[in-house]
Amino acid sequence: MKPKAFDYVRVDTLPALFVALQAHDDAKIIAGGQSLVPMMNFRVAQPEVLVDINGIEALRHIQRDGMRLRIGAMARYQDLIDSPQVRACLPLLVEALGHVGYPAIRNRGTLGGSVVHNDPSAEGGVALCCLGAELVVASATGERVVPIADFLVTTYLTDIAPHEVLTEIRIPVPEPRTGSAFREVAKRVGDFAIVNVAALVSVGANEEVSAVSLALGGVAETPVAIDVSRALLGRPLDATRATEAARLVDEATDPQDDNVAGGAYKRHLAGVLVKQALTAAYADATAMGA
Amino acid sequence: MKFEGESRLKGTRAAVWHALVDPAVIERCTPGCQSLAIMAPDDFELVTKVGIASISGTYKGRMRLGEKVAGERYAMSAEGAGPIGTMSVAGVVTLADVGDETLVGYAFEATVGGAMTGMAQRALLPIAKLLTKQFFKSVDQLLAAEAPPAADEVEP
Amino acid sequence: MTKSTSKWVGASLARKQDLRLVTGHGRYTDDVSLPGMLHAAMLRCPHAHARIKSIDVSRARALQGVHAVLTGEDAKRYWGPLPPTIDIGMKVPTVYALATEKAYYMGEPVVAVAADTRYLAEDALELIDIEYEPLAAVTDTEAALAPDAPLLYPEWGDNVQCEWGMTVGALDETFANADHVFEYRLPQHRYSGASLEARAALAHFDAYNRKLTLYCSTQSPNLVRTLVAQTFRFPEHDVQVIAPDIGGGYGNKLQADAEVIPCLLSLATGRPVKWTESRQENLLSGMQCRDYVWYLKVAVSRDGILQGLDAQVYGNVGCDGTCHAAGAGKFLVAAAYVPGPYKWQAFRVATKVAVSNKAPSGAYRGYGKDIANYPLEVAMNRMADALGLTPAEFRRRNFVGKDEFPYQQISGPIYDSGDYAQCLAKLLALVDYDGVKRRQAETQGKSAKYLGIGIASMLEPSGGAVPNCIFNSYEVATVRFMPEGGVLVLTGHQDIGQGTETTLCQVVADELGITPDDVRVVYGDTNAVPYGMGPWSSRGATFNVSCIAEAARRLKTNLREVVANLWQCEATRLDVADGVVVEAGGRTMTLRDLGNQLHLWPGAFGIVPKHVTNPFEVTHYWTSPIASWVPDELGRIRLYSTHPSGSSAIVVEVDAETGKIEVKDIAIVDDCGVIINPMIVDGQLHGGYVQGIGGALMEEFHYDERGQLWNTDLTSYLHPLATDVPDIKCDHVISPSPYTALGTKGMGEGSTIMPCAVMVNAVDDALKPFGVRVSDLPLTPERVIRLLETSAVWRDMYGVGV
Repeated sequence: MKPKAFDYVRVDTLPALFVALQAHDDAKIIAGGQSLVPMMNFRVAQPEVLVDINGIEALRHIQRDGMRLRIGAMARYQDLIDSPQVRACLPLLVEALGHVGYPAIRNRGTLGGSVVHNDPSAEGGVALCCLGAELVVASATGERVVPIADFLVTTYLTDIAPHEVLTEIRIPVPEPRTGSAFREVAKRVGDFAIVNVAALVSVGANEEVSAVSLALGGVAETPVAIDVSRALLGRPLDATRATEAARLVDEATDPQDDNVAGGAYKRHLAGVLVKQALTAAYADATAMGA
Repeated sequence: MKFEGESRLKGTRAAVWHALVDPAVIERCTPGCQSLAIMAPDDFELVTKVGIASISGTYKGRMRLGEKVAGERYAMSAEGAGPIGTMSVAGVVTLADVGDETLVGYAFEATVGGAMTGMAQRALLPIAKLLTKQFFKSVDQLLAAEAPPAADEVEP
Repeated sequence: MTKSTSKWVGASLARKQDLRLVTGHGRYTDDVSLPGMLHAAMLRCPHAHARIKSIDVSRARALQGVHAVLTGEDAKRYWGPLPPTIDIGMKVPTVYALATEKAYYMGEPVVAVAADTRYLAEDALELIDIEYEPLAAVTDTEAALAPDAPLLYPEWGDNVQCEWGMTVGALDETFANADHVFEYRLPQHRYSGASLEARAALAHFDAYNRKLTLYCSTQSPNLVRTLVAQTFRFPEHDVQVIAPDIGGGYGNKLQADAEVIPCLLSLATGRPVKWTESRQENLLSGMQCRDYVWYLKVAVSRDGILQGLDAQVYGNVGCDGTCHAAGAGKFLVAAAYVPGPYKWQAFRVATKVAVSNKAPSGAYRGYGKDIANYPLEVAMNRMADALGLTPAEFRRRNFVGKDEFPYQQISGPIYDSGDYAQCLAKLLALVDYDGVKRRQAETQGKSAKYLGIGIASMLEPSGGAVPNCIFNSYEVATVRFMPEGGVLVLTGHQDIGQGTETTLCQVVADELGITPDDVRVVYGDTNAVPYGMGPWSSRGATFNVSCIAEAARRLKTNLREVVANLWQCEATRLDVADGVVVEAGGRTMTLRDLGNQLHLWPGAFGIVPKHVTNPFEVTHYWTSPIASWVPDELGRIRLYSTHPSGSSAIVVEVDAETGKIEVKDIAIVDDCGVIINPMIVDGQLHGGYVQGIGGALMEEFHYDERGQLWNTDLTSYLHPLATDVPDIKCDHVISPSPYTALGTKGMGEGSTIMPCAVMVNAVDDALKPFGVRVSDLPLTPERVIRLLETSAVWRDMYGVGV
């Protein structure tokens, strides 16, 4: 199918972007275009104006800033996967983004674009939920910082107004002796995930779990973080503990039937992948030196 | 697919019920509604312009109300079609007192169709829920701005 | 020509078309542009079954840039109903390429628009108002055949498009006396070819020239020409069809269905009109295939000898399998071939073909031979298991033996040659069957991953000849000698990616003693080539190659006569090698010199003896020596010329926790008789096999109870990717056919015929510890888990925990 007619504007700075957004009622920002363009081709998205922000250098940074990593909204997936800082501080993000589509998509698509698009099983969104990221949303009049759980409203909808733009993703760097794991089941390599799980497990001196963060995709309207600390804290993570954590996830979620898979299968997969991810993250943590 | 929820509105059951079945209110409060034509009593044709996140486009719908019990409930069936595909819902809206406010509950069975891309299918129900929430919020705001109904308009 | 003289046949020559195709210099239908060209779009019915109450196109017609908007009623001014492509005792509906009073499937074209651009044409679609009265729809095959089913064509009284059956041998007695009787119900879902290039057609009606030219992505330009001429009641000699490079056909492009719509729009506007199908349109309304259920009853002796086969197949051709495309025929083929490569004493088959509210059904790589193969080969493995025999041993005991050919199968066809046992033996070695079984025993239960291996054998009846059908039984071609000694081959065959542009050059080079570079194949233009049917049922290596080889031989004979006349010697003393005519122990003349003498100076007048009627070219016609439409004493006919065969195996690892199936190894042994180009043959085996795996694991047209299709883009209709399969091992057996000029047999479909049965057998094997057997396809991870959930053993190990 072909898209509806639209106008196209290219901007190279944030101020120019805000001017363009103010000038047009029905404007949509295009970055990598990997989600937006297919929706336009199917006429599901019909923006009157596309504002191309690929020229804004100020949105590409990857910087360590104290105990957090600041990632520009326009950083491409592959740049993040290749970045020495991301690889050193956020192995979970590297592992998750490796599951996004194919090399061609990873070369063009942006993490920021993915977060704003908010597919229910987007690997970026799931990893950021697990990592407890914050989003910086800017407009002509200033900026605001939104925790990821509040930012992801419902399928394809986030807390960002038509005149605003996502500029930065801020991710706290996990404490030492934190292991991570990302698990996903998709029908083929590169497909949208049916269910995916991101896990961070921190261990103390006696290999007891001192902190845990878990997020899932494909089981709700958006990626979600589920609190399983009461099943795991203070003890080593064995099969029984992992199963208990999976039970908590099962109680907290209600996956629906859709075109991708049935709700019952997603529920089953979530149980399997939660156990696998927690077990692997724990093994990763305990393998690290004290 | 089940499509259920509830909304709390400031207003008596009678006032809320009358508002919900009033085509003028439906036209004003349906998000993006550009026109509402009355085809027959309780039978309306709507044209709405949807604009939520990426999803935008013009959608045409037909809404029919029935089995009306004033102040308490009514049945609603609706079909809509647009770029994303087609959706039809059928079910019941019920009203209950909660103090001097009204709790509106809706329980619909929804079916979707049309040659839609798989990407769109996942969004349909969440977006319908969102639009429904927005609708009730608008009705609530409208009621708050209007005077309460005259005594003789309240039916037993 | 003996094997020892073949220099080019048997060589893995690089393909002539690859340079232009991989560098982007191919020319596909969408690459063709004509001055003043418009673009077409179609508004399609959103309902599975509906009466069309009213259509208002006024707003669309008023849109700037729109040149024509036509409904089905408007179109009747220009065309008649779609002519039948097949009619052997079938009910043929009156249907048009644009729906008229009723629409029969979701996606059926209802209104056609021609505009300056495709974008504008799609904008116009949104301005068309149609009022539909939705009708009850039926999609499931057995539901469509039930007495209370909604009827697509009420005048039929039911939804049966055709039925057929036969009985041979003492069936009741055989079953009564059998040691074992096995019963199976084996359904298969609906899927299709989904070529990289979907349909495309550019039509130009030139009123001043009184001519209709149609550029078309098709496998059969001549058949399309005939069908288009019939649809528009045009003199066929005023119609020309040009098929440029084709991006895949697989059987899906053997008709003129929506292809006539740009013709309609060109007639209405007087301008060229191009339609390039979108993927969504192709999935909605392109030819779909498979979709059937078998009921099998098999009588077997206690020592594992097959005795009786009693089978019923119910097929689903969607809204029609005769006029939109020739889908109905495949169920008749399936019925005739379900006995497979095995020997039987008694046989009964019944087939019923149902219409339903789904897209039309056409041909797809296999055309019934796959439908016959699936239940038989799954049953063979399950019966072997019940009898305590290995799958290989059970087959060995029942194969037609290599010394029994030609062999007339109980259902009528005559199998030309083969060595089924050798194919199987080579396969077991190629895949290291015993080694896999050892690894399976060692690893079973040690992790959540379960290893399994499945095998199947297959028969690939090729060179089809179907009565009262566009799939007729002859081939015509011209081999032309050029003034400078080169050769043009004019053929109605079409290269759709399978490489005939190259292989025919190899054949002609060997026949005439020249090189493949001296030969050019002309195809794809009905004004330039004789009437040919195109590639389907692996006709290339049967009909087309035989016709052209024999034509080349006759040309060579004529040229020898000319030179014999020049040299005043016996023609038998002359041969041609390396482009030179050679007299035994004496004179030589290059073909270039001969060409010059014949065409330029002194010319034919001076040198051709009176008895040679045409030294310049030979137009030859070939038909199958073995197909027969005259029923024999048992009422049986024979539709195929040769019978390639083979065996294959898949090794899988099934993750019992997630349901994912990983394909670890694939091995194929194929017997296609004499091989012209081994590289091309292996390429066809690889591609066809992966295509079959797609059907087994992931491709599916899912229609819900309301007849809504859920797979309308490539995120929901999933093709197998290179990452889904390992490297594929191939080996060959060569049993030449006595019925073709070179002993070639055809091999385009065999590799697609097998994989579904092989995959089911492999997964059954992997999941044996859980005591479950595959029933429904495709084997998505979700279906595997649903299957495993029926097993108490599985629930114990993996189901509990949450």
